[in-house]
Amino acid sequence: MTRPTPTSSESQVHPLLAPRESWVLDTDVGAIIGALTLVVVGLWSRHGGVTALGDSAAKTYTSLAQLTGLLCSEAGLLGLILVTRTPLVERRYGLDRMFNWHRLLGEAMAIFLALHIAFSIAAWAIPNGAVNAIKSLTGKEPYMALTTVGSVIILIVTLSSLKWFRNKLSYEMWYFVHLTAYFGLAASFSHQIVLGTDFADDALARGFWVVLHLALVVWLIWSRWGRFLIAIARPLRVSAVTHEAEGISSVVLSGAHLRKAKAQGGQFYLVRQLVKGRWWQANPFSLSAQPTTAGLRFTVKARGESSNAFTNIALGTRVIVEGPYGVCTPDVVNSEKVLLIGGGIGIGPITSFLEQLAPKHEPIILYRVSSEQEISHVKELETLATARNGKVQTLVGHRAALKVADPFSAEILLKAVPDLVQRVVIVAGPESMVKAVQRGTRAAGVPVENIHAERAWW
Amino acid sequence: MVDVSQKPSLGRQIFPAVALTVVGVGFISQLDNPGSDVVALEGVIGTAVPSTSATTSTLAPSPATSVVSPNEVSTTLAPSPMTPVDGASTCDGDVVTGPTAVFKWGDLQLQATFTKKNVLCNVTVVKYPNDDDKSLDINQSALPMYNQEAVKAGSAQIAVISGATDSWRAYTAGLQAILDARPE
Repeated sequence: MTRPTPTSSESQVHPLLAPRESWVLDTDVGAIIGALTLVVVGLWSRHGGVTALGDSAAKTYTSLAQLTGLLCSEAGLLGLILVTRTPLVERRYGLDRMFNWHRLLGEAMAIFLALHIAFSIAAWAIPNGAVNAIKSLTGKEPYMALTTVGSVIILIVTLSSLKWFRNKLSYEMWYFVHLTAYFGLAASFSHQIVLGTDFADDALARGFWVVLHLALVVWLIWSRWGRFLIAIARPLRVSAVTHEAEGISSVVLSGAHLRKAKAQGGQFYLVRQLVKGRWWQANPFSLSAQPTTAGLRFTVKARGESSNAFTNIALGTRVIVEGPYGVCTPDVVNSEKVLLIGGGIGIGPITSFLEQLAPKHEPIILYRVSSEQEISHVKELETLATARNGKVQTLVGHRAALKVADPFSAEILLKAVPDLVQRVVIVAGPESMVKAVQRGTRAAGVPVENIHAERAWW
Repeated sequence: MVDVSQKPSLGRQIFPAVALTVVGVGFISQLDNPGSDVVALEGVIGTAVPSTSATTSTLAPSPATSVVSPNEVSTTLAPSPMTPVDGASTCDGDVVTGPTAVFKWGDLQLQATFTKKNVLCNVTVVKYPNDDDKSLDINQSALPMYNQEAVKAGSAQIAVISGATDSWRAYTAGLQAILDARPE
C-alpha cells in the first residue's frame, strides 16, 4: 500500500494535529445533571408539590403528574445534549457511550411520559370522570391536541428504538422515524408553559424554562446540524481506492480543507457518499492510517449494502465526513509498552494507532483473522512494527478450527506476550473478540484502566 | 502526548458542583411559593395554667410580660381590654400559650386567656414576624384587631382584614389549635 499522494504539489504533507482535549470531568457532568435535577425537583417542591402529596387524591395525582412531567422533560433535554455530539463530551467519553446514554435517557423519558399521562388522567378524572378527562387532555384544553400528537410520536420513537423493533426496521425507516422526535418534543413544549402549573403561574420559572430550551435549540442547530451543513459544503473526494483483500478495500479521501482538520489514529468518522439515494447513509469508518493533510484512509469491508457501495466507490466521488470521533487514540498511552490486538477489519484502527507510536512503546500486534483471504495491511504492519522495535503475530483460522478454545485466555496471552502486565492493551474488533480480550487481559493482571477497546466501527 | 494520568485538583473537581448547587438553590428560593400559604404549627400547646391569685399578676396581659424581645415591644399590640366578656366572670381563668404558627413571613404565637367558665376572654400576641418594616406595619395594625375580633367572637371564626391575609391564616390556625385543645 502506498501512502496517499499529496493533492497539491505546493503544500507539504504533514500529519493532522490531535483534536483538543476536553476539559470536562466526570464531576462536571455529575454537577450539571445534579443541578438540573435539583432545580427541577426544587421548582416542583417550591410550588407546593410536596405538600400536595398528602392532600386529597386529586391534588396528589396532579402533583405527581407535574413531577413526572418535569423529569420527562429533563431526560429529554439531557438526551438532546448528547445528540449535539459536542466535542466537549465526545472527546471525553466517545460517541458510542454517548449513543448508549442517549438510548437510556430516551427510555427513561418514555417511562416518565407514560407515568405523566397516567397521573394527569387520574387527576382530571376525579371531578370529571375518565372519559371527560381524556377528552379534555387530548383536545379540549389549550395546546393539548398538539401535545397528544407529540407524545404519541415520542412513544413511537422510543418503541422503534427497542432492540426487538429496531431489528425489524430498515436503518432508513428507523432513522426517519427517529428524526420526528424533534417535532414530538417541540409539540409538547407549549402545554408545559400554558397548562403546567409550575410555569403558567410563575414568570421566573417560565423564563428559565424557555431560555433553557432556546439555548439547547441553538446549541443543537449549531453543533449537530451546522457542522453537518459545513461538512456538506466542503466534501472530500475519493482520491484512491486500493483492493486489499477479498471484499476489503482501502479508500483515501482528500480535500483542501483537511489542512485545518484535526484527527488522530484510532479515531473514526461518519462517512456518507454524496450520491443520489445514499447521502443519508452514515457509515462509521475507522481511520486505517495516520490522518494527514494529504488524505484520510479508511479500510472498508463489504459487509452490507451500504459498505459494499464503498468498497468499489468511483474515484472522484464526493464524500462527506463528520468527525472525528472516538477516544481510543494514542493519547491513552504515555511511555508504557503497548499491545495492539486487532480482529478482522478491526486491524484498520490498529494500523493507524500503531503508526503514531514510538520505538519506546515496543508495540506487539496480535492480528486475529478468520481466513487467509481476509488478511490486509500485513506488510504495512510489519514495516511499521519493525521501525518501532515491535513485531506482528497473526492468528488465522475459524474459531472452530483453532487448537485452543479461547485464543485470548490469560494463559495463552501471557505465553505470547510475557510482559503483558506492563503493557497498555488496545483492542479493536468484533464485540465477542473485544470481550474475550478484556476478560483474558484482566485475568492476566492488566489493570482495567490500561485496557482500551474501540468498538468495531467500519 | 498528553499525560492522562494527571489528576485534576480536588478544587477543580468540587467547584462546579458547589457553584451550580448555589446557583440552583438561589434560583429556587426566588421562585413564587404558593405552597407556603400553608401554615405549619410547631411546638406544643403550653400547659394550661390554673388560675390562682398568685399567678394573675404575672399573667396580667400587660405588654411587658408577654413580650419576648424588645423588638416586639409594641403598644399597638396591647391586649384587648380586660373587661369581662360574659358579664358574670372576670378574665382570670387558664392562660394557654399556643403553638408557633410558621407561615410565609415568619412565626406567630398567641397566648389566650379563658374565664373560669372556659370562655375565651383575652388574646395576646407572643411572637409575630417583625424582621422588616412591611411585616411590622401589617401586623401592628392587624393583629390587635384580630385579637379583639377573636374575643368578641369567642372563637377563631373571624373576618380577614385585607392586606393581612397571611397573618389571618396563621392567626386563626394558631388560635384554633388552642381552642381545639381545650376541654369541653
